[in-house]
Amino acid sequence: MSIVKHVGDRIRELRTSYKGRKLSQEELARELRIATNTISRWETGTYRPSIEDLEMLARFFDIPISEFFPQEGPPPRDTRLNALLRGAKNLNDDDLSDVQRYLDFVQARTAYERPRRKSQSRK
Amino acid sequence: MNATAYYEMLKARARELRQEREWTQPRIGLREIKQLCLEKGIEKIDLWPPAKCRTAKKRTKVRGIYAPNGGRPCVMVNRHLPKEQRVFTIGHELKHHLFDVDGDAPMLCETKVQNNAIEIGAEIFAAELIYPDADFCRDLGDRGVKPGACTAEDLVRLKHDTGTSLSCAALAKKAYRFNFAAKDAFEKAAWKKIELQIFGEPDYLRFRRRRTPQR
Repeated sequence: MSIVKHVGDRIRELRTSYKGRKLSQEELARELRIATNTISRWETGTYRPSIEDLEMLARFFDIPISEFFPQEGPPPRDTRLNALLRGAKNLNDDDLSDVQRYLDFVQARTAYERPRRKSQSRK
Repeated sequence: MNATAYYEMLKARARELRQEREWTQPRIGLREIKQLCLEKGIEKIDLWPPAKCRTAKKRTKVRGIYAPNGGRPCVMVNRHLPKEQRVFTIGHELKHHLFDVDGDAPMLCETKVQNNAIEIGAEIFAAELIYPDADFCRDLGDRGVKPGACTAEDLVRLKHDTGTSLSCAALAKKAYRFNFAAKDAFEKAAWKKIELQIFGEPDYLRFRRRRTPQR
């Protein structure tokens, strides 16, 4: 299964189980202020949501962005978090969770990026 | 290496970078500093939270993050910072990229600077990269400001005339360091207010007020 299809399936799953009820595509689109068609096309894998779109969805569903992707083993969170907690003395829980969100975002983007095409040199 | 030697080494490196880029002015734009970071191997500079995330919390104490990201380094800059502080923060994170990479551990920079050599060094590096100390002392001296006699108005005028990307608060720190002013002399300085008193309302605010319908 392609990653775009997997992501689309996850969006549908999250939408249909949102707070114990089924959120329609129209409702989700209204909440996110985007077109209903876009949600539909994300779910069917017709459109590839950008990594920023996924972050927006992750915030809406209140999940880490990594949950949109196939799990290939746990991310090395412990060391990163320890490093953060060592460095962050004045931060509250909200600030730390925002930091964690960014680190998850960076990791997800690296995994989600399309492989770069090799440039073809002219002969 | 003691702290002073370490800070001097960072400042020398910052000046080298300025020379490499042929930066002669104390005004460094976002585009210029981003370009420098990309050339030095930082892959992405992200404004955080992303523009699309309207529900994101408005204020966070995190100014920036340097994330080595397994050899594909990224920098996060708080979207809610003013443009000048964004430039400074990127300079700060560049120092971490050039000097402090320790495995894959990310580095956090808070609005309140931590009292350790790595973070203080990053502040010094960023300040030197934007406005070298020697230029600052020369420019203040050219204005006839004597050691110990620098006022908040002098710094506001310096900032206005040179167009530097350093904030008045950062200029104040330089003024303390070179004994142009007594320690904490500018602690209660209302920079914006002073600027308004000296130079009047900036054009962009006047235009904005004109365009906003009166009720």
